[in-house]
Amino acid sequence: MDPYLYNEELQKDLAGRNPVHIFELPYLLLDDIFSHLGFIERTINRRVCRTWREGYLDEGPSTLFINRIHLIKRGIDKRHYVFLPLLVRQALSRAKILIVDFEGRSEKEVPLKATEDSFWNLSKHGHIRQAISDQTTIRQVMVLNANQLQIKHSRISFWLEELGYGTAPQSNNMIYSLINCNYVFDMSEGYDVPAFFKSLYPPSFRWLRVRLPRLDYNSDETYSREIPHILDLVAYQKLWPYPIEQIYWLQKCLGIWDDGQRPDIGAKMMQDRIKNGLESYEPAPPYRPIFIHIFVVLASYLERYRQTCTDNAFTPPPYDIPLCKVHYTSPVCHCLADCSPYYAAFQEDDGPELQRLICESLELRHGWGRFRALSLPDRLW
Amino acid sequence: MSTAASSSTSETIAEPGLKIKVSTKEGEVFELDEKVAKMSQVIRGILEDLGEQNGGDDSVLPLTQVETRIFRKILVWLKYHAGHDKEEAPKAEEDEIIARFCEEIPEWDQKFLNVDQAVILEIMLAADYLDIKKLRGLCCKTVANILKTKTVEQIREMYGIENDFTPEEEEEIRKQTAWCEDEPPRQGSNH
Repeated sequence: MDPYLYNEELQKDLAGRNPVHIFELPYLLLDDIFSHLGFIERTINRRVCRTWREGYLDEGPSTLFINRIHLIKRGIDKRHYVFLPLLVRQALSRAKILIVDFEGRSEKEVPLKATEDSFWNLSKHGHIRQAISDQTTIRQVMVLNANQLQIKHSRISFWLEELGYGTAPQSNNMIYSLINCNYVFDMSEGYDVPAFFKSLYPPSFRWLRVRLPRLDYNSDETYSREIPHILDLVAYQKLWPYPIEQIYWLQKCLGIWDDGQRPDIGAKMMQDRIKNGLESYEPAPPYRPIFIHIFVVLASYLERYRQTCTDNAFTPPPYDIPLCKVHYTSPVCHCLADCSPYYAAFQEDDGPELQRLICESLELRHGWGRFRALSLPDRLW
Repeated sequence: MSTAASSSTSETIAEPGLKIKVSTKEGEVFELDEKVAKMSQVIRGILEDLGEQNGGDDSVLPLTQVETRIFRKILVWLKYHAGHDKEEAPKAEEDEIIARFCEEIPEWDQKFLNVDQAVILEIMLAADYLDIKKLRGLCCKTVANILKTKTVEQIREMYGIENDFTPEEEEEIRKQTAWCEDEPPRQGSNH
């Protein structure tokens, strides 16, 4: 059906008519229009006229949506923020739901730095945390499209605390939701990553990005210090989705691996770390999540080695480790979602993004070159 | 131009199933498929009431607040969505809220509402009267999207809204929005 049907007639018809004025709309309709506006747009539109300001925009909506954070001006005089706490309080006065959309739907869409600085300005000068603490109607805070939540610097922890997580008195009755957010593992210094693993990635490759499914949690179950840890666990489950027996298998394989042979995968050191990790994190998680990506790489490498090089004494892993035939140097890629139930969650992910990261590092994964010429059995594909 | 909706006198294509007759403000009668008609909660309600009272099939439901030219346009929307919307479980409240802010208006609906804003307001009013929630929401979102792209001065001009703040008041509000709004071209230029 033609969507333009009658558009022309209606346009022509307007000429001889008194068009409906926006002020003729019933209160609820105009209120509904304004309910689609975010915090910044509502703030700006308060200046249109007295009726809009006093009748609609001074009173906060039931869902306060904060987006376009990057538009908040940076580097302006602090006195310009003097009214911000009042505006935030007004906007939150009736809010049951607060949504903060970081709009990181793609990496380049909104510069991370601009978003972070602007959010910092908004939260610091707007006293958002205090405003949330002081009002009782709010029951849910959603963080949407936060790109590049970094485990290392616990930025998500910082952001959530600024939104009252773990600090607002009523936060026990609130739900915090992370929706369509992703995590970034920092591969640069600060992580004691063996040289072998560093060699798997190009020098410019600093991040391993994983888009996670939705997370909901209630702050009476946790304390703010635990947030990064909990999030680590989720990331861990995503990247290393196997039961504990799989890590025992990895430990055993590392015991067999001779560090004298090439490549040196730091087997002895990793064995010790797994052992220490198991001792300090029993029963769950069994090892420091900081090593997740290392485990994933190691297991994938050893399993490829086991299947393609017959001169080994490795036993099969208790749970099949899927190996991608296309991305033969990749420990994890989206293709795994099709061949292993453990990685089914990757189907929800941002496919092109992860795929790109894997492919970028393709030629530089020196230790995996031997697998190029060898074919893998079909059973894992 | 083809006619998406025809008055009862010119309806030539007989479709199977129950037909519902409605009349517009001008008294023009339209014959609608039951599925299409029931997308309006008002019509659905009337039909249910009539059903309980053994209302006859020849009943014409009066839609006294909707002009023919607007109803004809709305009928295009109803017919399209009756045929294209999937039968799916209603969205959870939370999903609806997220969609309200984050989902873009579908392309077909954008084209459908590619008319002067005054017409959109008329369609919005009619959708509100007929209680067609989805169309009403689309109209509201479309107007809101227009607002998002305009400066305060442009909004005033677009709607013919008089700036009824005193210069002092406006200056005060301007200070409040200095953290997110660009400086005006000239101070107090709207008076």
